[in-house]
Amino acid sequence: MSRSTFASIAALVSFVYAIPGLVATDAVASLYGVTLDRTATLLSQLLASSYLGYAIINWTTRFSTDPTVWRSLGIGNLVAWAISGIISTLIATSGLTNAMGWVGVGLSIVFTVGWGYFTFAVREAREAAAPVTAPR
Amino acid sequence: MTLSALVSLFFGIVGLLATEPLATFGGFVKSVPSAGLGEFLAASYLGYGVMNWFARDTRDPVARRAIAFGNLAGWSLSLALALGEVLTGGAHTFGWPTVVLCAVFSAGWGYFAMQRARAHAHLRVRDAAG
Repeated sequence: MSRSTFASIAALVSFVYAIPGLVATDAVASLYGVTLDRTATLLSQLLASSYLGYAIINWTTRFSTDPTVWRSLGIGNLVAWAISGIISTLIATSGLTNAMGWVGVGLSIVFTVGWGYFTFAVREAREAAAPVTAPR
Repeated sequence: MTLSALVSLFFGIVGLLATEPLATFGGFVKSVPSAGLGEFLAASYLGYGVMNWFARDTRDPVARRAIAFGNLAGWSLSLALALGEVLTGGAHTFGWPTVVLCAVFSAGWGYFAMQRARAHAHLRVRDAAG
């Protein structure tokens, strides 16, 4: 899978989480077996709006060939997904959500591994493949 | 971009490491879902902070525009949500300061997004003209 395909999938997943999270917050929470109070509803909508930002950034930069862009977006996404994965796992194992909580864990693992791969493994391969120029 | 990165990093780290004290100081109703969502939000902000920090020197016009529009979407929606919360009586310690912070960064990212969109359109016209 190419980096652009992966970035497109990541953007779509962020979009799919963002829009229902903004317009049908309580319905999404009930899917996870969670009831939201006023503070939790606001936090959930703020989270959805930040996911929309990720979706826009990942979608519109999916064909970028600038290594600085690759690295910055890769590390940013990696950090967010990795920490979210830890939080999702803690929440799912403590039984605060229903079985849907494990979907979040699975997504976090997939995207943490994916962003890690496209940020570090692919970069190392590109650097190793780059021709070495002799000093003049 | 650097300033936005620092603000996002600050809120991300504080939100992750001090969720409970932050909620108490802010006068939020503490609950298990709000604590979990607060941590997810902090993780997301930390990701923005890292992304904006590392991308601050990029010269790719498409990426600069994309990052500006992505940040603008996040900040402006947050502004609408924070303002709605304050106006409907959900005011707490962070109410108006959050509205002001979101307004400042929405305006800043909006300015850069428009400027970069204009520059991008100018380049396309120049390329089309040969």
